[in-house]
Amino acid sequence: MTNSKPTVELDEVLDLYARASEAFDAKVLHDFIEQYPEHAKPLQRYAQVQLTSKQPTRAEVEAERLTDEEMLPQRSKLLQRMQQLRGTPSPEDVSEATQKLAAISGATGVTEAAKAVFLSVNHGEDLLFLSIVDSSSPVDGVPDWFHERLGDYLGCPTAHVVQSMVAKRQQQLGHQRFSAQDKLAEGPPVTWAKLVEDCITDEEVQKEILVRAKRS
Amino acid sequence: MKIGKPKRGSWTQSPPRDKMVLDVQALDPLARSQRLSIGFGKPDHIDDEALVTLMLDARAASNVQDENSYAAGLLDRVTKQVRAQVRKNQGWARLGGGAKSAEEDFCQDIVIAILLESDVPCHAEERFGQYVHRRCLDAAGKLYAKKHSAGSSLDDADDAIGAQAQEGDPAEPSAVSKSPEEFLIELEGYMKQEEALEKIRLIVQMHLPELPQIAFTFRYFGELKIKSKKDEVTVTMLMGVTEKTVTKYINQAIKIIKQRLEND
Repeated sequence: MTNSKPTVELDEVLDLYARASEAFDAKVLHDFIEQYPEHAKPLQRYAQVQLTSKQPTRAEVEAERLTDEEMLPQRSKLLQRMQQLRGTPSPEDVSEATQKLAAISGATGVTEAAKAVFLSVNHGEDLLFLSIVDSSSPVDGVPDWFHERLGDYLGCPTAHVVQSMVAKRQQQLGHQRFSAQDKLAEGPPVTWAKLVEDCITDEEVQKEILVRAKRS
Repeated sequence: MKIGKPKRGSWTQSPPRDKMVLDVQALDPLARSQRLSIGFGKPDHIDDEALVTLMLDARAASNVQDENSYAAGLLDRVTKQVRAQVRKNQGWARLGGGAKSAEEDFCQDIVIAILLESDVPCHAEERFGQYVHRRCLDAAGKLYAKKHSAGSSLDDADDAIGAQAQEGDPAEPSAVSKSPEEFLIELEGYMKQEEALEKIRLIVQMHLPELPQIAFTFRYFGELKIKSKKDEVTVTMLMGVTEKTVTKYINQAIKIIKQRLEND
């Protein structure tokens, strides 16, 4: 006869117990020991720690002294870990941002989005917006504030917006490949400055946008 | 693993912490840093819970700079909490781990765990001290639960006592002349004084062999009976041993506790 009872990993059992028993509860512990007799001893030990441990008072916490010398490397390590965790957005995140980007359509939609990003729309900002968002070529030098404001407008983190624009460009290339006789390569990169000069009709506004880009 | 986009909704801290959050958000980075460094109990101090909310709100708003700044501040507060927890529960050091780098990683893990919380409000922005305590307790509990019985563990000695008792030998009368229940009553009187209670708690954490430690903990700290005819959970049920064995473990624990208290 074989034992068909699935073996539950100790970590999992301890996690379940910790969640089920915020404070020690003999009944909960007994139920767990009955359910997972193979982990009875670790469960007893966990409960023992639970019962004999005590939370420090506020005064005891405040009595702990930290120095910048010891904390600076730790803060730096934490920020590195946070940066790593932010990393590349998941496909779901990019897909969500791409859908939101695609929903910007029609004259009104484009005008509203351009206004949110450039704060005005009377000098060709809507055209500039489309030239960047719909470009089949990479646009060099797009300032961070463009992506940040677009992210705010769409309700997405900046990284998701950047990735969704890359994804959209790749999608456009894919369509071209299907319809073209020869394989088409991504077009030559265009620059932010060139697009600003081509699209923005007012020299003052043009200058202001370019200066703002240098500051960012 | 990746930090996902949080959905914070419209939840805000309740007074006075809501004002703390707004006050800090209105400050420039330098003034903000100064404000966050004001210690507990002083005017304009920002509560730990409010700082957690500031960090989570900054993350929800994709404001990386503010998120980083609040996270760094929060790490300091977590570290103070963790160190105080370890100092308060000196027996944890006996469970293994304890390296400085492990403590540092653990503190960072707590900040990351708060960032990954999906509940709004999360536990840490309601009761920060309790949240850190639970994380510490969980880490210590798991460390102890999983430790091997080989090596320096006292399990071998415990097993010898257990085997002797299980075989039906009479409980050694010379170890203690009173019954465990009588001793517990005596100890209860003593434990009314908080200082003494704290001493006993530390002796239990640090100086008892494992099985006497568990039996005594369940009996005294868990307030369970050794055995009962009623339908209730008892020490014998939890430990899976006879009444005689539990009695033996508790006697041994009492003997050590008394010796330690007398030596103080």
